[in-house]
Amino acid sequence: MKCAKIDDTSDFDDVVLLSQVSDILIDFLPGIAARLVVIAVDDQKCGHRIVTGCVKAWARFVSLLLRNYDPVEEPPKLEELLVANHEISNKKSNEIHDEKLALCADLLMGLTAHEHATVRHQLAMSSKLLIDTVFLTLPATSSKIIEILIVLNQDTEHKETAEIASAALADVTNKLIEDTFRTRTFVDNLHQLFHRHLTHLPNVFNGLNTRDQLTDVSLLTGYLQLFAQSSQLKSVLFNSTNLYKLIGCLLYVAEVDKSDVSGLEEHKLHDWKDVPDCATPWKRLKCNNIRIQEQLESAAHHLAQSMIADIVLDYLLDVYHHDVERKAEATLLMNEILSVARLDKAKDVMDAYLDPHNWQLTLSVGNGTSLKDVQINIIQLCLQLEGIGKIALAYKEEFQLFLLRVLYAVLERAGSAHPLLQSAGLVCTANISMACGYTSVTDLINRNADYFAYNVTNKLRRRAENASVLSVLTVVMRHSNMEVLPSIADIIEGVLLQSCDKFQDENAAAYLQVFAAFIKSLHAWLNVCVVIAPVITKREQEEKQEVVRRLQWEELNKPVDLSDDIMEGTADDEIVMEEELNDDNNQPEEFVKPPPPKHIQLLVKILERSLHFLPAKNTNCKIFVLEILTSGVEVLKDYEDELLPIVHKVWSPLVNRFRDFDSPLVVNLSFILLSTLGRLSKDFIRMRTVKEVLPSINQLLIEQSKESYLKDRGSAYRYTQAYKMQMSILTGSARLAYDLELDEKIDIILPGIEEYLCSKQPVPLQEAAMNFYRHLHHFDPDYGTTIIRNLNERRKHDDWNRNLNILLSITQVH
Amino acid sequence: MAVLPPDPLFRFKSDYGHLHTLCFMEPECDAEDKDEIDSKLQKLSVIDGAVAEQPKKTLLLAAGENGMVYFFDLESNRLIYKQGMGVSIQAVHTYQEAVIIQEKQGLVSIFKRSSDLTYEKTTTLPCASGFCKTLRSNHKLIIPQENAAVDIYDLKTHSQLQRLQIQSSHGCKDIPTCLHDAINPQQLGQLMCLEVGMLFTRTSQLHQDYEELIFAGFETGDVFLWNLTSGVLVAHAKFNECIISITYDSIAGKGVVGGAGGVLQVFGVERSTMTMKPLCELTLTNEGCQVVRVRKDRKILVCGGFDGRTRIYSWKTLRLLAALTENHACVTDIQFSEQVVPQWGSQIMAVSGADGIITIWNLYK
Repeated sequence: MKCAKIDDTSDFDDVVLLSQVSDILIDFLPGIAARLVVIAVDDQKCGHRIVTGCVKAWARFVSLLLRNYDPVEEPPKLEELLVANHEISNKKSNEIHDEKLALCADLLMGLTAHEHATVRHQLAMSSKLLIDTVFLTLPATSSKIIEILIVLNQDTEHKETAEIASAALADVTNKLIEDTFRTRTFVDNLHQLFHRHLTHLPNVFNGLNTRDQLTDVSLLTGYLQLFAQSSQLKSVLFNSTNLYKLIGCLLYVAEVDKSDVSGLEEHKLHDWKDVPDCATPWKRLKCNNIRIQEQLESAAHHLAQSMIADIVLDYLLDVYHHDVERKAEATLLMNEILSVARLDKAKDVMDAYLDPHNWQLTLSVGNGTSLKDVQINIIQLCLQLEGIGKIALAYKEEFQLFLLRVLYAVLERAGSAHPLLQSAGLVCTANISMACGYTSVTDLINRNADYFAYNVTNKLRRRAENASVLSVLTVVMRHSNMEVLPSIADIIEGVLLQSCDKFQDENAAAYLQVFAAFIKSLHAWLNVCVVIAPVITKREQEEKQEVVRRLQWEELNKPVDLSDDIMEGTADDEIVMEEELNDDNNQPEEFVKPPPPKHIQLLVKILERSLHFLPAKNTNCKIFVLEILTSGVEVLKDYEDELLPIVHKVWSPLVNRFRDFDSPLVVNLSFILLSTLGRLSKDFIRMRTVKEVLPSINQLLIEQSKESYLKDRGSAYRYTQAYKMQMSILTGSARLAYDLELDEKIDIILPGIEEYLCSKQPVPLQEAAMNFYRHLHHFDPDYGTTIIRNLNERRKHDDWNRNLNILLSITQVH
Repeated sequence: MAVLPPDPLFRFKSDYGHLHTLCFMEPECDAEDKDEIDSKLQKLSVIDGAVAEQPKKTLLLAAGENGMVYFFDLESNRLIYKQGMGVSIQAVHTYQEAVIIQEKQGLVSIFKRSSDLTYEKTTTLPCASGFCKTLRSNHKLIIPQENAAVDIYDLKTHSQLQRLQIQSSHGCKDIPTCLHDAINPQQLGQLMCLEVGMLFTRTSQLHQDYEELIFAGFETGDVFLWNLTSGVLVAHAKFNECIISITYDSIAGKGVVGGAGGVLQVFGVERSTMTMKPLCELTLTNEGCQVVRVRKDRKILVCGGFDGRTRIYSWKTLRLLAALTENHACVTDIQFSEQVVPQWGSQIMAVSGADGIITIWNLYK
């Protein structure tokens, strides 16, 4: 080093001296340079100092001998060219050196992955030195050096190295921009290398060496960055071979892992996240390396900033449409490109995404669709959703114009039962909401309810083709608030109108589902909760009444007050009848009550309409209607004027349901509805219940007891609807009796209930029947005791003994 | 129906009341305009005004019984502006930046856009009261008048260009040759509808010129045809009573008359002899047709019925293609956009109804 004047103490500014030294040593170049490199890359085991030294020496040596000592190289004149023969030979020798040294640089490339940071640091320093000095004289070597720098630029472990590399690259970029003429050879070399690299890359990704893969992708990204910054990308990629190769490479790297996705549906709704969640669980690359993914994304970003984004997107769209194998990868790349800038092509891409062929994909196994297909479809849709979200973020407020088409589609996915799709949909919605400047997703939905309503109305009409419309409606209702009510009300009214159509039967279930969803959301919006008042025993009631009566008496004894008839008879049937008449005629009295709020009016309409489906043949419909009615009347509880007419109207179709002995579920739900009605309207339905329902229930219990007889141990009876119905009636009857103040009239169902005291009945049913008696006894001990004693006397069978004895023991406590 | 009708592009639905009329307000005037240069000059002067700053969008104007004119932006598909401009507006037109409305009691008012984005009434023109809608044809506004007369106004100068009349037998000596019997204008009932058409006259191998035609339909079922260029009444025909709408396809020389009855009557105009006669009839499922239109591309005939259905026929074969069921009350107006609406990438059709619902469509292209 000393004799070559390249040790640390040498003065590198003495150009004359250096030039002389170089003239002397030029002949030794090949040997020395090659030897140094061999030492450097020979063995990782040798100390890092040796390697560092070698690299340093090599670079200084090369730079010393071959640096451009004549910076102001004017274009030679003709006569000079003729004379200066030796100069040409000089150039030629440079070319030969260049070739040889390029091979050395190739070897040095391996050091970029050296374990020791100092080595990489020195490599960066040396590369920078070479770029500074021999950039023009050794184009081939320089381009190799650039590759080294590009790779080092991505060094995340040693920041300094990355900084040096990036400074050197910036330098190169400037040189390329400033001086296009003299750097041409260099650029050509670079292009060639790039091309070679593209050819080479898929091979690396076929292998398993992650480190190599990362290096290669980094290199690719670095190239793109360099080209993009020196505005060369266009000229590189206008060459269609390069372009296709590049995209092919990117697609290859981007290969998405489509296995290991659950095809199962999960019927659970998550809440909106107003802060978009950046997790993208659906986007898992085959290479499974987050750094590679980052590199890939930044590569895509470089493409987006360039002028050729349109060509790239067109090519990718082509792949998207025609190459099933690489569709997901193309989507991924397009998403990344479109996320950077607001590109006009985004419209076309979105059109492609939302095209029914690409949007309405099969998501359930069967009918020739395998699990693998479903997995692919899910991933594909997730990626498309992600893309739409990214496009929205790039378009910002301008995206508002697309909402008419996009909002519904996205919400449709947000309401999906597939957890992945759902979260992708939710993230996308949140992104759109943020992009368009809404404060929250609820705000987004509220303010675009008209677009949404339009889509829903259309889809509802063709429900067969758009089965998901209901899930969308449900999602929206769940995640919006009362503000959205006007437009939802509009949709519901539309549905109401449609359901009157003569084609209603086919779609009945769909309409009812919408109604059910609406009532459900009313529950949420109005905070409706089921209030079950604690039981007040008969004695307590009597005591209370006693107090009231005494007060009343005192009041009566006051001379003036004549309003005694108010307190007369709390639950006379005649009053009930009168009330009914009033409701039916609905005649306004002197005082006109303000109409109930819009949603209550709508609810009443819904309930009335649903009622029409109650006598339907379709059991599903019946079930739906019963559920709707049960939850609907709950909302109406504070609006007695609306509640009682509905109860009245519900009555006759409901009563007949208790005769559907073949469908225990319907009976069960009817009983639940009856209990709800009883709880809400109390004695309003007492007489009718006694006359019309209790006999049916009694008969039903007796008949069913024969079915359940001896069917507990080891039988599946407990899983049947019949069992559930029995259970429901046995547990609910006592409360019903209390709510309706049935008192002794409960007798009617006693024969049915006592059947379940038999020890051959399923145990829980026995227990429920026992509880019935306990409740009865608790409410009115005298009456309860009478009944139980009565039972004891009639003791039908020995099987009853155990339960009866327990009951008798209760009576004896008192 | 076996196949469900197609979906509209969008549906404007709110408390717009009983709508009578629709009009597309498009960024540029019709290009085939004779006085194209002239209009361009006019436009330049408009650009000087406050309006020029905004990029021009296609708007859809709707007006009706409540006297409001609603401006819908077809890009965002939202109502962007509304202004009360009269009472019971029967027809609304746009001319450059101006909005022209016709009220049921008579009177046509022209509103100019003032600087603060509102519209101010600048001119009023006389008009007969009734249901007959005025018509705009390029720079001309065709206004129905009392006594079976029709006035032609120039929209640039707001001056009357021409008056078309049916000479009564005792009013004028020479009865037009087309009238076989003397007709008393007093007995025709109300003028119900107007339509413009063109009569192509080949002047040379390359150049085709045309004369303008005007159709006028009366309550009694009489339809009169004037040659606007010469101002002469050229033809007459008698159709079913209670005509409400006429449409005419100048290229085929055929048209359709719709009315309160149960049929649409197709008629032809024999151009050499200038005679007009009924050709065939189309039976409607439900009686009553408020509006008939043949689309400019001559592919479809659209009929808006009292029953709220918009029936689409193939104009070539007169086969029913679809019945659109978006409106639940009488369809009141159907309009086609002259130009491609960017948001939809196509020319579109708009349908309004008495139930206040406006739908836009892109069908059978």
